[in-house]
Amino acid sequence: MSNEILSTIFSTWTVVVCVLMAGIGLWAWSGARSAEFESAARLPLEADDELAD
Amino acid sequence: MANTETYNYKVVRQFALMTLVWGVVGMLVGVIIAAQLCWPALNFDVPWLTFGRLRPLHTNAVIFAFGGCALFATSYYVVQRTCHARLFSDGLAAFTFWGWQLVIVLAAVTLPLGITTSKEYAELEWPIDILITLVCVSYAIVFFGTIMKRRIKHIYVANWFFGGFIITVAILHLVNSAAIPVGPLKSYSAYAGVQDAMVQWWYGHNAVGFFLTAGFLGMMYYFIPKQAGRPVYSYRLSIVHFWALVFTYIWAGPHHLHYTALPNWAQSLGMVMSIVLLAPSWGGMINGIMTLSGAWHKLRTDPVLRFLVVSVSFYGMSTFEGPMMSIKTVNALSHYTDWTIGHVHSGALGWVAFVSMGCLYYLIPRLYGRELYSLRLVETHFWVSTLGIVLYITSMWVAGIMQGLMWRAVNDDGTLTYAFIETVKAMHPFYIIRLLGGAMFLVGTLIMCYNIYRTVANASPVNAPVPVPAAAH
Repeated sequence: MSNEILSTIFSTWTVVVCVLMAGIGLWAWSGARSAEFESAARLPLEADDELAD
Repeated sequence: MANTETYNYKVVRQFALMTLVWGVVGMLVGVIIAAQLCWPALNFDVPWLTFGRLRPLHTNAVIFAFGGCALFATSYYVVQRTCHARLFSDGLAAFTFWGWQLVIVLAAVTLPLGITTSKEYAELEWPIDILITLVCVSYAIVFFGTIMKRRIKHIYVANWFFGGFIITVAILHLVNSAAIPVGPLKSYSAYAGVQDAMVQWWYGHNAVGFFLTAGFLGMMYYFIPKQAGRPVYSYRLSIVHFWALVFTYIWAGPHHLHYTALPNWAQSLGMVMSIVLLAPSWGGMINGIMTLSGAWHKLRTDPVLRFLVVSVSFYGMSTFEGPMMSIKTVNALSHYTDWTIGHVHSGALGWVAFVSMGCLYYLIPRLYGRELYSLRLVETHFWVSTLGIVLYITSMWVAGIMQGLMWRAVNDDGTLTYAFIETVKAMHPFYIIRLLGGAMFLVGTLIMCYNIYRTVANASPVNAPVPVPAAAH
C-alpha cells in the first residue's frame, strides 16, 4: 500500500476516534442520563456486609 | 422468599491473604537488592543471589504476585457485589487462584536459576507463558460470565476498568510473548531488532497502564465511595475517564525508546500521547479525591480512608511526572538514571501498594465478619510506610538528576568530566537512603500482616447472601 493511502487511512482513523471521544463525552453529559447515573453512582453504597466486634 | 445463594468469598479470601504473603516476599527481595547496590558483596558470589537474577524476581513478585492477587481479590469481590450475582463458575475461579499461585512459584524458581526471556516484565519462559494465558482466559470467563448473569441492569464503572484491564492484559501478553521455543526452557522472540523493542515497550508501558493503573482504578471507584460512605464525585467524569484512558494509554509505549533506533516519528508520537494522557489521568485523580467532598473530616479518624486517598494523590503525582519525563528533552537527562526508579516507585508504592492495602483493610474484616484487630496499627503502618516512600522517592530523584548531570558533563576540550565509576561512587549515600526507605515500607507491610493475622485468627469465614432481586435499576 502506498504511503499516501496509508496516510489517508490513518488521518481518517484519527478523525473517527476524535469524533467518537467527543460523542462519548456528549453522551455522558446529556441530561437524559442524569437519573440513571445518579442511581448507578450509589450502587456500591447499597447493603454492606455485617461486622461483629 | 429468602435467597439462599451466597457470594463466592472463598476465592476472594484466598487471593486477599496471598496478596499479603507475596507482598512481603516481593518487598523483601527488593530490600535485599537495594542493599546489594550499596554493598555488592552481599550477593556472596552465589549466582542465584546476584542482582541481575533477583531484580526480575522482585519486579515479578510485586507486580504480578502482590498486585495480581490484589486485582483478582478485589475484582471478584466488586463484580459480585455490584452485579448481585455469585461468580460465574466456582471451579474456574478456583483454577485462576491455584493456576496463578503456580505461575508465581514457577517464576520464583526459574528466575533465580537464570531462566529468562530477558524481556522486562515478561521474563518468564514459554511453558509458563502458556499457563498464564490459560489463567487469563479463565479469569475473563469468570469475570465477564458474572457480568452476563448480573441482576442489576447497569454495569458499575469499576467493572469497566476491571474488564478493560483483563482484556488488554491478555492481548498484551499474547502478542509480546509470541516466541519460537528451541527447548523446554528456552525460546526466542518472534520479533527482531527494533520491532522487538517496540512490541516489548508497547507491552511494557501498557502493563503499567492496564495492569497497574486501570485495574487499580477499578478498586478506587468502588472502595473510596464505600469507605467514605459517599457516591463517586462525578459518575459522568468516570465514564469519560475510562474511555479517554483506554484510547490514550495504548499509544504511549514508544517514550521508553527515546533516542534509540526507533523511527523519530514513533518516538514523537509516544511523547505526544504521553502528554495527552495527563488529562484523563488527572480527571480520574480529581474524581477520586473529590469523592470525599463533604466527608473530609473522616480523614482525621479513618486511617483506612487515608490509605485510599493518599494513594490517589500519589497516582496524581506519578501521572504528572510520567508525561513530563516522556518529553524528549527531559528524557535526555532522566533516561537510564535512578530518576526513573524513583518515578516507578512513587507509582508502585504510593499508588498501587497503598490502594491495595486500603482495599484489603476494608475487605478482610468483611470476609471474616469482624472488625480490624487494631486501627492504631493501621495508623502506624500508614506513617511508617509513607515516610518510607518519601525517603525512597526523594533520594532517587536527587540521585537520578545528579547522575544524569554527571554523565553529560563535558570539559572544554570535549572529554567527559566524570568517569562512570565516579557517578557510581556519588550514588552511594542515596542508595543507603533508598534502602532505608524500602526497609521502612517493608516494616509497614509486616505491621499490616500482624494486624490482619490477629483479625482473622480464630474467625469464621463468612459468605454473604446475594440480595433478593428487587431493586431494578
